[in-house]
Amino acid sequence: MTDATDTRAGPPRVSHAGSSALLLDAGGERFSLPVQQRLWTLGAPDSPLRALPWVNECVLGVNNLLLVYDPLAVTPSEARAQLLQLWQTSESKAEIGTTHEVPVDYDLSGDGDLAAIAERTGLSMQEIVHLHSSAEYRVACIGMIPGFAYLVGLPERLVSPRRASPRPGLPKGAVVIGGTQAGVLPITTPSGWHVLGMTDVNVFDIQRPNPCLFAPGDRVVFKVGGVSP
Amino acid sequence: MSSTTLEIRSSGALNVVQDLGRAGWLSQGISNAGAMDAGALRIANAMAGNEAGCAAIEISLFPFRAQLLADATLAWAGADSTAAIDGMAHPPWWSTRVRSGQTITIAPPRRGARVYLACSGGIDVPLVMGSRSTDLKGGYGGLQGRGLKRGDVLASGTAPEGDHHSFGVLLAERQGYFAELDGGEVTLRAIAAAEYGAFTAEAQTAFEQTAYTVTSEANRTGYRLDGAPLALRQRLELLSHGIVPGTVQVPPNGQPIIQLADANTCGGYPKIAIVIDADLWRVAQAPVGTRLRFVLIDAEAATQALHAHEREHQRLLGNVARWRRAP
Repeated sequence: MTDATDTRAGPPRVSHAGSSALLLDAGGERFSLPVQQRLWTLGAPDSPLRALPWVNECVLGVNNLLLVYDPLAVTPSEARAQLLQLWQTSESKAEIGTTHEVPVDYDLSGDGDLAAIAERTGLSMQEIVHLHSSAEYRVACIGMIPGFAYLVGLPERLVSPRRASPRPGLPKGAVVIGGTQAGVLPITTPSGWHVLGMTDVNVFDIQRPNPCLFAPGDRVVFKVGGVSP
Repeated sequence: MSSTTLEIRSSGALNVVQDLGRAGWLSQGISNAGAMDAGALRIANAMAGNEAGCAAIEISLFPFRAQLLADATLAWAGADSTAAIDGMAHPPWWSTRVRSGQTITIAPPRRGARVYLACSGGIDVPLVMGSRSTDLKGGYGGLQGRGLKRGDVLASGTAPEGDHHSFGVLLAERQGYFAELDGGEVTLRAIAAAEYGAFTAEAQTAFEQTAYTVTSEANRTGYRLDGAPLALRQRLELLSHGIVPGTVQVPPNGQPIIQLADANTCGGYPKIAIVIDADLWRVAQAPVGTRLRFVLIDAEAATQALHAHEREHQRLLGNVARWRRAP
């Protein structure tokens, strides 16, 4: 999955993503951490890109960035040229972000998703808990639903295809994995991801000035237990 | 200052408080939300004497009924719906003074899908992340993050004193659109998206040459369409990327989905095209069963369309403001 040495990404592709949006796709087929690190710089709140007066939004994706511009203030071709130029000069900053520790009440009941993954992979439930809780994850980006952090760094042996059809109403606080990624559900939502356990860390709260607990570039570690009942 | 103004007398979980949306939060996974037909909201607000960004009620379940708890100027725009005030019929796209105790009933549209009911002073619900728009998926904004139901009481902001004559607007653009709906078919301008070239030649032809019907799975999140399946030349695995309202995604079954105001901020399905911003209202007002035809234009033409749309809108808003002062 998250192959930190994968720098094969070719020249970025910029496509129209709307009548006032451009998508810069800097990745290849697989996730590249170095590419993502450059995108964190390009899309950071204090970046030169964000400072342009016609930039309305910068949405980080996984190895890509969506730029929403004011079409009454800039032409699509000017916006495209500026975006490419700033991408070409953007560099990755080695150390950004903070580290979050997330206590998890893992589901060892034997009839949940964790047990099903054990069945499929041949790992024991304890091995799954150990693998999941001993890795260090990075927040690639926030998106899809409010406050959802795409966490990269899931150990290869835990990679689990998403369910063919999503289940309705997975609860807020569910600690989940899907494909090569991990996450914590910020709201109760339909999801095709697998639930390993629950946490009481509130990753999304509209009462906070910044509702999202995690930001791109942050590190996340999961630890066993310590969740208030 | 705000005071209670309206009591909702009909239930409709899909009738929601909306303003122009929650701009600037996409990078936190927060959908824009906001009025599906922003132009109609802006005109309803102008007719009610409000700023363009005031919150109003987006009605998509009819008949809608509400009783006034205080005198107010009401204005409605959007779909082709008659509004009755204590049984007295008023045309669509109309504004009038309504007295405390009177009841307004908005009938099911003859044509179109959504009506915006604005109230002088604007609907006053708490600002959440800079907007009063309801986000049903996130469960915040609007009235307690949910649709309106019978017995809900809404407040409105303080309205400037003004003349209280009744008037309406009749827009050539909207009349043309309603005529298209009469024929059951609506044309949408779109720009080719990143994966357009990854679709087969047959799919590219079908997308522009055949109609796609709005299915019953059509709401503020998006419209699922039904038509000639759109196949890729080969399977594509895309990493998650930001999307905006108007994006036409094609999941593995080949039937396109237009993502709309409440769409997830990121997606992973291949995108064939994006409906231009100037035509999003045409999607918003297309009821289930409408046949949609896509016409691809380039980005410069889309920008010109937006400029023209905005100029026309500003001219109209100016006319409304002048008419309110001196009919």
